[in-house]
Amino acid sequence: MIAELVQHIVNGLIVGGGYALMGIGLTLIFGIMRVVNFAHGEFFMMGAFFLFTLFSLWGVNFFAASVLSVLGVGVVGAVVERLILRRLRETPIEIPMLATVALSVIIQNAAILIWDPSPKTIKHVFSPLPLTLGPVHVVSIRVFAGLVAVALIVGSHLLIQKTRIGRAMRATFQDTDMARLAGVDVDKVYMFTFGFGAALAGASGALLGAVFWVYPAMGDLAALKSFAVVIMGGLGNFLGAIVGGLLLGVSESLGAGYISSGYKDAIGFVLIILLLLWRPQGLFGKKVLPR
Amino acid sequence: MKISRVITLAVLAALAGVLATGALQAQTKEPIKVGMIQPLSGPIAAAGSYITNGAKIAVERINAKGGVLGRPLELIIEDNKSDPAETRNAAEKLIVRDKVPVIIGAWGSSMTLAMMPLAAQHGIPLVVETSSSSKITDPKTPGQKVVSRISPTSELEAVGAGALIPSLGMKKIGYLAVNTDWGRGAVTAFGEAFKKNGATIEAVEYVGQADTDFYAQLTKFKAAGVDSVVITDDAPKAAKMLQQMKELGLNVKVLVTGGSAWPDSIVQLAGAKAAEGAMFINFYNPYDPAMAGDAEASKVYVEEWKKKGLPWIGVVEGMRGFDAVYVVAKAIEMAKEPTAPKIMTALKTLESRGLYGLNKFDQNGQSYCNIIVTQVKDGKYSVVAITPSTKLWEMSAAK
Repeated sequence: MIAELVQHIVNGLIVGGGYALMGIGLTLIFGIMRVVNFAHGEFFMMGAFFLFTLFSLWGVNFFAASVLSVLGVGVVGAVVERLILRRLRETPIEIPMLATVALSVIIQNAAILIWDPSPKTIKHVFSPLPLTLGPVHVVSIRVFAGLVAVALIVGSHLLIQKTRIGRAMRATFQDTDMARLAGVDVDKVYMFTFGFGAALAGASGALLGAVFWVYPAMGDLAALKSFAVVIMGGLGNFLGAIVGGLLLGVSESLGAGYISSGYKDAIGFVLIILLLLWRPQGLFGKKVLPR
Repeated sequence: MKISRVITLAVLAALAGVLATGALQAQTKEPIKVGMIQPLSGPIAAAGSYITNGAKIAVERINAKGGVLGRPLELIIEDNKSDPAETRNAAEKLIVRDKVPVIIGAWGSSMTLAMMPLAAQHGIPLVVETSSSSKITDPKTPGQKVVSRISPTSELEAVGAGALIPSLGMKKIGYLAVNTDWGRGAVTAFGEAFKKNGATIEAVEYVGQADTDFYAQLTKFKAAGVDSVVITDDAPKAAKMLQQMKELGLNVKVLVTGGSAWPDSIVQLAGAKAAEGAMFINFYNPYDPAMAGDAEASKVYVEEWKKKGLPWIGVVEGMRGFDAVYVVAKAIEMAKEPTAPKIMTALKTLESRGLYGLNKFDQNGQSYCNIIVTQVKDGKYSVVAITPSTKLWEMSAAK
């Protein structure tokens, strides 16, 4: 009984790490740029397809290919900001939102044309045999995915807290005009933020793509869940996205395990509704970015 | 100014000429439109793309031989985005805008059920190529009267595989099914068949159409101590389930129903190790043309599939589209004109040997196809047993 519970929790935490990464990207983009990014799922999908192309098709080393994929998605994100979102910055919030909806449709259909819709497996370098810790089974690719997610979350935190660009991001988040007056290049901050947020989604996609599989529509459910994570944690809140992601992962896993797997996705969302009734601003809604 | 006007006039005149000749040609050999609705985006887009490719092979072959009633067939393909509501929209578009006299579709049972009432309202015959929920050919279901289904119901699969069940040695079963009309129907049909043979269903778990992680369900099965798992889902998800069973150390017998997953697809998607020993219920064997209802057609189909460089794992799914087009072509030929009521009447008495077996329709619009049980043996495709379509027809006649 305990073994089953532990197994459900471990499963949930690893998937939750991926949700958290997605959520952080989305929450940073919203917090700093006030852009609701509906193309977030497509950046997730691109991360997975870049890894598939580099590693499975072109034979690049798995780890090098992972890093290149994430950077590649970051570059695509930065280009999208520069070419599309920057031109829409002074428009009402729904205009950039619609632009990202359009972008999402275009990218997903482009992926169907380029890679065809059949699901692809990334035959990664890890052993398919499970590691057995007592009665609990975990495969090494999932452990790897979990550890990388933790490393990226810590890395993002350090980047925001300790670096020059991080300081500029926080300043822009608090007051864009004051930041500009103080000499912050807001254009650069926006471009970096969008690229960085996209790269985190790409990293999540590459990790979960290697664990599960890769197909053009994989971003749909992931995007929906990252919105849930961000709303649960409080819009624009960094810590909220992490806690929200892990909470969603574990509650889905436990819900599917003990209540009904047919309602796995519903359970997560019921939890969100209950949480929002209790705290409409989300779990960490008052606090904003970690200072 | 003047020169440009002259040029414009000249261009317009040329254009009119082109249009006029085009119209003339169309009048003599206007193509017969055939509507097709498949999931071309969304989580099951791969299956939809295989079926449209199979259908295109059939259309090319028919048109190369002079078409139907001396006119070429034209396939008008709509995407239902793996969604029932979109399926209804797509059907409306095909019926109202394109005025097709017949529609092939729409892969999933929930999707097919969603468009049936609309098709019935307009009197448009539906040729159903994949869906297996028994509701579709149940006279109580709205729209059933326009359906001609070449794919088998889950009940038929269970009957076809039934003789084999006692020898499989499955005693305590965990059932993993997709949470749609297809999955739920299959759980009922196979649940009964297994119970009759002395096996118990320990746990039934449903999974979402876009799910990729089945650890929660499989962990539950492990805790329940099942000795076998029955799966009803498409090939990619079944592959992932097998892989994750191995990851969790759940080494039990596996049977995959529904006909979309088959040994080659699972070996490719999950690896030979995870696939080893798994059994499948299939309706078509691409390696042995003699098993199909029409050996020559089967040979041509497989050759074309390879020649076009289409994914091999889709060849077993693609044949559904191929057969559906041949059934439609034959019905139009019998009807002597491509109108909906005539085609509907023709379908009732049609007999067409195809890849599924002998395609013809009982009083509820249901056809009985070959049921083949296959297995991965030493990483290779192997046939365990076959119940031919003709035998199922005899059995139903005896009843």
